[in-house]
Amino acid sequence: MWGEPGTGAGSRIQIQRSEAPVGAPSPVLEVLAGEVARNLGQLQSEDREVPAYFLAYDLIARDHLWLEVQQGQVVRRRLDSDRTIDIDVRVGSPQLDNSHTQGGNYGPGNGLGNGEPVTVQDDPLALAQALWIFTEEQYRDALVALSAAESNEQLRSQDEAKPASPDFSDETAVVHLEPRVQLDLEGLRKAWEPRLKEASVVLGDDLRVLESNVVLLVNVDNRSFVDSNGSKVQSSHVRLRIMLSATGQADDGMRLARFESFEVHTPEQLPTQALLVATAKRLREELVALRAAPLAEPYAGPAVLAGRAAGVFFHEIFGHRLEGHRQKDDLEGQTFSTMIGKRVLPVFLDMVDDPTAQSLGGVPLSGHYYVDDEAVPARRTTLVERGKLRGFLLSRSTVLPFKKSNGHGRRERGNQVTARQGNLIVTSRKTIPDAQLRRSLIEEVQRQAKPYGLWFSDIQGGYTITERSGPQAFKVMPLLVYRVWADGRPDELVRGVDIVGTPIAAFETIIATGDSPGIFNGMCGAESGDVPVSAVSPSLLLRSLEIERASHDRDKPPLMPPPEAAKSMSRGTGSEAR
Amino acid sequence: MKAGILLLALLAPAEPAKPKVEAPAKSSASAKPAAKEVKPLGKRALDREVAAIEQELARGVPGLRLPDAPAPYLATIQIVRATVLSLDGSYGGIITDVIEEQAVAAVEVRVGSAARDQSGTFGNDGPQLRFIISLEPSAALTLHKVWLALDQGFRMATATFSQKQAILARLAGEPPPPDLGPKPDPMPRQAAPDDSSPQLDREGLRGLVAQLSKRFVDHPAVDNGDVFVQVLRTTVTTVNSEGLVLHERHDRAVLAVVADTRAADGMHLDAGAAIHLQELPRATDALRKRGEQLVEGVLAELEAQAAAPMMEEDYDGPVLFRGPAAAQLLASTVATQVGGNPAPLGDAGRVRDFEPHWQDALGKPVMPNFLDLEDDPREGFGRYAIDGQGFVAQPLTLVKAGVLRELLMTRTPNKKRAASNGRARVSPFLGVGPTISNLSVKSKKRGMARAQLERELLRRAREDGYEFAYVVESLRDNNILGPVDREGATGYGGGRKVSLPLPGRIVRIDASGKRTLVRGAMFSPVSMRVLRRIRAVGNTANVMPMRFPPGYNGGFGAETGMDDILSQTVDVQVSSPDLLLDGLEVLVERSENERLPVLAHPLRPTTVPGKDKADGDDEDDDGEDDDGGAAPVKSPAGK
Repeated sequence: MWGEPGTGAGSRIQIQRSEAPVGAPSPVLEVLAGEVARNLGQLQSEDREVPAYFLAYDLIARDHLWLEVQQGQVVRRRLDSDRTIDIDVRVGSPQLDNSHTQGGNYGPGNGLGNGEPVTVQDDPLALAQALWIFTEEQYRDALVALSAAESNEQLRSQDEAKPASPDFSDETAVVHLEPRVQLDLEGLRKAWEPRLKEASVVLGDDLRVLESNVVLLVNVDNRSFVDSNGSKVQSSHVRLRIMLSATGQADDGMRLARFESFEVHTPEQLPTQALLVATAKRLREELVALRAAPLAEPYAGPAVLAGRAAGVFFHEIFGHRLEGHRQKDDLEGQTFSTMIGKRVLPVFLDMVDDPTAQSLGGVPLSGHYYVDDEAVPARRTTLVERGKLRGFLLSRSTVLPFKKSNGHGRRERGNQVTARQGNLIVTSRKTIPDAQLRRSLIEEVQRQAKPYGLWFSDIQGGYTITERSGPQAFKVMPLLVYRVWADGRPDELVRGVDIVGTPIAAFETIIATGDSPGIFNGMCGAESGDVPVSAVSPSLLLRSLEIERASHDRDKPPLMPPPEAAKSMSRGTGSEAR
Repeated sequence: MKAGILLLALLAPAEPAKPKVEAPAKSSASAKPAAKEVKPLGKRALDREVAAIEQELARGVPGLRLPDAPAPYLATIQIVRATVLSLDGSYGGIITDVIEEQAVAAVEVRVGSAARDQSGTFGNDGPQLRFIISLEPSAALTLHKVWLALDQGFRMATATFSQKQAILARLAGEPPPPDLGPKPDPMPRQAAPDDSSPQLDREGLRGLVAQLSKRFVDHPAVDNGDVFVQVLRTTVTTVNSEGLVLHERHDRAVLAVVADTRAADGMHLDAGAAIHLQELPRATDALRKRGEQLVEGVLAELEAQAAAPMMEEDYDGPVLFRGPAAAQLLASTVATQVGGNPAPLGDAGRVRDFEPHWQDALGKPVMPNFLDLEDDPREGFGRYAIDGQGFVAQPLTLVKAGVLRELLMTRTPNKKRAASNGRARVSPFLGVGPTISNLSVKSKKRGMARAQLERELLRRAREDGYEFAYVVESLRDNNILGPVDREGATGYGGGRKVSLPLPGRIVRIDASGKRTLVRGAMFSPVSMRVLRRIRAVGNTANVMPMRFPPGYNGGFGAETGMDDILSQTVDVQVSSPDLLLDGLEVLVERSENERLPVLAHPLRPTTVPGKDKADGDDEDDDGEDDDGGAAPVKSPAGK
C-alpha cells in the first residue's frame, strides 16, 4: 500500500504484487549448464595458473518491434529477433577479483558481460561453438583485469578500521523458472500503425512544430541464466513503450521539446486511442506555448516539484547515490557511505526500492522483476525510514556491513552488472492535499517575501556528479516550468532553466509533500547500461530551489516559412505560422 | 488518419512543379532553359513526391539568403528506399535473420557559383545532411523535411564556403580548377520505377544459410565461421534544382562465407569468398550447390593456410599474379588511382594524400606499350546506363598503348579535364565518387600459357639472384573480410605509394618445380609505376565481378566487411589476363601472435592437460599445394 496507514499520509493506493508464474524449463538451460561445466572445468584445471572461480552464462532472446510514424507516415517499421550471450568469468577470489572497481571502470573488457550475438535457435553445437570463443575471450580479459586490480591494491594504503568489502558475495543458488512469453508483434504492428498515424498527425498539426514523431517500441525478452553456483533462471520481461515527441524552435534560437511516454507490460495496458490523441494534442499545445514563453532568470526560491517530476528528482539526486558500488570506489563522492542510521532526508519521508511491485494503483511499474541479473531474488529494500538511511541498493558486490545482495544487480546486455534502482518509491508522513499545494507554495513565497515561486510539472531528466573529483552537485533539466506569482497574477510558463544544487542541501528544504503519487516510468542509463526503472513520489514543496540559465544555441529559426504555410498563404486560406 | 489523408491531398501538387533554374552559361551548345526541359513524370506516389521535392527546390534555391553570404546556385536531394534481408548462420544456427525497410534522404546545397563554391574542402564534400523519410513515398512529409534540410544544408554550405575562401586567400600558386562542370545534356528526367514490394525468399534462404553453415561441422580445424546471405533492393532517386530526376533500382545479393582459425604458432588466419548476384535470389538447388562449393573452398583454403609454413625471408623480385589475383591487383591500384577528382582542400592547402596518383600522368606512359585499359559500362557486372549525376555512360579508353589518355571523371573538374565522362557512381548509402564500371586489360602482345609464364617468372627471378619466385593466386578480399586483425599485417600507403591488400593465397615455386603454399607474406607499398613493370601477360582473361565502395577510398583494398558489402559498394567488373610484374617486394609479416586458446573447441577432443604436444613440431608443415589436405587439429590445452 502506498501511503502507510496511521502515518498522516494522504491517499492510500494499492501496490500490486504477485507470485512469479512457474514454467517448464527450456532445453537451452541444460545446454548452458553443460557448457558451464565443460568450460569452467577447463578453466579450473591444474594447468591454469590463474583458475576461474565462477562462470555464468546469461542468454537473452529478444523479439523487437520498432514502429515509428511522423505526420501520418511510417518512417520505421522493424520487426526482428536476436539472442545475445553475456558471459561472466571471475578469476581471483570473491574478496578480490577481476570486477574490482578501479577508477570507475565497470567494463566491458574485464571478463564480465559482453553481449555477443549467438544463434536464435537452441542448436547445441552452434551455441557451444559461440560459447567456446566468447568464454575464451572473457577469460583473457578477466586475467588482465585481475592483474591490474591486484597491482593497484598493492600500491594503496589500507584502512584497518574500514575493512574492504568483498567483490562478490556468497549467495544461495536459485532455481527460478518462469514460462516463456510470446507476443504477436506483427499483430501489434498492424493494430497500432493506424493509431500511431492518427496521433502523429495531431501531434504535428501546427506549422510551429518543426519535427515530431510517435514511436511504438516493444521488447519481449526471454532470459536463460545458468551459473557455476548452481543457479538456473528462466525469466521473461515484456516492455511496451509508446513515445511521443515534438520539437520546435523559439525566435531566439532555443530548441524546444516536449515528450511523453507510456510504458506498460502488456498490450492491454497501452493507452486508449482517445488518451493517445489527447496527449498528442496537449504536447503540441505545450510546445507552441513554450515557443512564446519568456526566458526565465536565475532564481532561488520556493518551488513545487509536481507529480512525476518529484520521482525523477529523487531518482537522479538520491537514488544513484545509494547504489552499492558507489560506496566502494575511491573516486566516488560516497555521499552517504558512512551515514547508515543517520538522517539524510526530512523525518517525514520514507523510501524503499521495490522491484517486486508490479503496479501502483493500476499503473504498471517499469522497474519490476522477480530475480535480478545475478540470479538473486528481487527484494523490497528499505533505503530510508523516517529520514534515516537504512540501506543501499546492492548487487553481489556488497558493501559492509551488508554481506548479501538485496537483488538489485542489473544490467543491459553487454555490460557488467552493477547495483541499480528498480522501483524507487517515496512515501510521506506529512502531506498536503494536492489541491492545496499551490496555495501552500504562494504562502511560502509570501513568507519569504519573494515575488514568485516555481512550479515544475515535467522534468526531462538530469545528471548528478558522484565522482569525488567534482562537486557533489546535480543538474536537472525541467521541461515545463511555471512562475506562480504571489500577487495573484496568472501562472506564467517560462523556459530556458535548469535546476541546480547539491543533494543534502536540496533535501533539507523539503517542507511537505502532496498526497498522491506521481509515477515516472522510463529508462535509466548508468555504468551497467540502460535499464527500465520507475520512480514514485508525491509532489514536493521545497523551501528553496535554485535555477540557472540553461545553455542553448542561437541558431536562427528556419530562414523561410514552411512550404505548407507558403502554399496556404498563396491560397489565402492558411493560418499564419510565425 | 483522416487528417493525414487530407494533408496529403492538400499538398500533393496537381501537376509537377516547374523549377526556375537557369542553365549554366554555355554548358553545352544545345542547352535549353531548364523550365522547358521539364517533362511531366508518371502518376506514381514516388512521382508525386519528386514533384514536391522539385517544388521545394524551386522555392528554396532562390529564397534561401543570409546577409553577406553566398547564395545557393544548385541543390540536390537524394532519397533511398531500401529493403534488406540479412541472414547470418554459424554451425547450423541462425544468428541474424532480419528484414528491414529503410528510407533515408540526403541534401547537398552548393553556394557561390560553379566556378567557386564550397565543395572540395577536406571532410566537407558531398551530401552533408541525412534524414529519415517515410518508407512509402509521401509528398507531404518529404516536402516538410526537404524544407528543413535545405535550410540546414544552406547554413552548412555557407560556413564551409567561408572556410574555403580563407584557405584560398592565403595560398600561393594557380587557383584551383572550377568546382562544378557542365550539366548533362540532355538532362534526364525519369519516371519512377514500379512500386511493387520485393518478394524475398526469406524462409528458403534461411534454410540455405543454416544448411551451408552446418558444413563447418566437418572441419574441426577451423575455429569459427559464418555463412551470410544479404539481399538488398534499393531505389535511389536523385532530384536537383537543374531539373534532373533519376531513379536507380537495384536488386543485389551476396552469398558469402567467412571463416577464421589459428595456425599452430598462434597466427590468426581468415578466409572468405562470395557469390555476388544481381537479383533477388531464391534458395534453388543451383544456388545451394554453388554455396556448398563456396563453403568447401573457403574451409579447405583456410585449413591449407593453417598448415602452411611461414614465408622465410623478404623477397624483391618478379611476381606472377595469376587468376583472380591479376584482376584484384588492378582493382586495388588502377580503380582508385585513375579517378579525376582533385585533392581536397585542407587548412594547409591541397591534401595530396587524397589525390589519385595518375592525375599527374595524363599523356604519359603508365603501363607497357603493349597494353590498353578500357572501361565499358555497357555490358558486364558493372554495367549502368546513366551515372549518378545524369550522364550517359560511354566506353572509355583509359590507357592506349601504355599511355594514360583519360581519367574517370564526374562533374568535378580537375586541371586537365573540365567535363564528366559519366563515372559518378553512387552506392546505396549515397557514397559517390569516380569509379570504374567494367575494366579490362587488352594486350597487343600474344599472351603466354601458364607454364610458360612460370618459366619466365623463374628466369627473371634468377636474374635477381633467386632460385625461387612467388605466384599470387588471390588477394585478401577486405570488402568481405574487413580489416586484418594482426597489427604487423597493416600496410601503410602515403608518400605516393599504394598499399596493396595482403596476398590471400601465395605460392612459392622453386626451380625444382616444388610448389609451397606460404603464409605471413605481405606486399611492400608500391608506386603506381609498378604497372609499367608488367613484363608478360597470360593468354586468357579472368573476369572478376566485385563490389567495393566508390571513389578514392574505395577499390578492392577498401575494408568494407560484410556489414556494408551491399550498402556501401557499387558493382564493378575487372577482366585481366595473368600479369607478371618485375620488382615487387614481398615481405615477411612480423606480428606477435597470441597464445592458443586454453579451452577446447567443441568439435575437438578435450585433451588431458599436459599430455598434448606443446609446440606442434611434428605438424604437417610442408605447405604443399594440397588443397583439401588434412589440417592439424590443434590441441589447445597446455599451450
